[in-house]
Amino acid sequence: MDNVERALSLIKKGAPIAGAAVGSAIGFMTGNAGGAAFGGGLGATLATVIEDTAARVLSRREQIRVGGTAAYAIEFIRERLDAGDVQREDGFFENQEFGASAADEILDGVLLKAKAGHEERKARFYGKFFSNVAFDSSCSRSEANYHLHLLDRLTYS
Amino acid sequence: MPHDSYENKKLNSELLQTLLATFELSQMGLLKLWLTGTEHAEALLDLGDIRPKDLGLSSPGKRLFSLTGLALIAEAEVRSVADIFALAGGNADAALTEVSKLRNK
Repeated sequence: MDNVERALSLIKKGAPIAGAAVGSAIGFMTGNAGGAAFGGGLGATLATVIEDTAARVLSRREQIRVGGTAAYAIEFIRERLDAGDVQREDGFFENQEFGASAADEILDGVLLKAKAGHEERKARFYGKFFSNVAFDSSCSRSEANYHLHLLDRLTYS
Repeated sequence: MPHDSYENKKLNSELLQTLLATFELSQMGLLKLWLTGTEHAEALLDLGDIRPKDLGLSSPGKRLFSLTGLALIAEAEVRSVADIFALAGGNADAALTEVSKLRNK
């Protein structure tokens, strides 16, 4: 199984949480869905980070949580692209000194929080968080990291 | 949100837990207790100070709400929290705790 197949397999495993968003996300990742397509840094970030996460050893429930969160993130990104929104162009997706972009760092953090969290209803909000940060150039890397930390501390109910 | 205040009231465990969570959110800087009709907030020093009607998001709270898409939470789920805040009278089966006894501990 190559890296792309491993990433798609991980997203599919999120079906118990993300439901219909999984099919939509898979279609979007493979280019089989209509509407806008990924391009530039956003597509590279999603591919790189999800493939990297898929290469880790995850338990069954961790795969469901991470896959579901990734599916939600892709689905929310697709909605914004279809609405005509433009991904940020302020260097957020450009590789920094350690070979990873700020976007890579934030998505990696989102998936790690989703993996470790036991409240599976939060997956949708982790996905929404990354999709919003990817389009909001007023949200700096440090602010995104801080809000991700706060989001991790919140309980759903 | 209801107009209730909980100073010296006996509370069931569900309400107490919700007040504790609310107090924690205020300590995280996400919630404030706004003075009615003003743009000023009041210090929230303990659970007895919480007045649901005056609770509101701070600037960082609004930012987190927006970035995280918390508006996606269904109205019914939000309403259930408002229902918990409303003092529904005595519940003989629930463990009751008096807020005033928790103060200064």
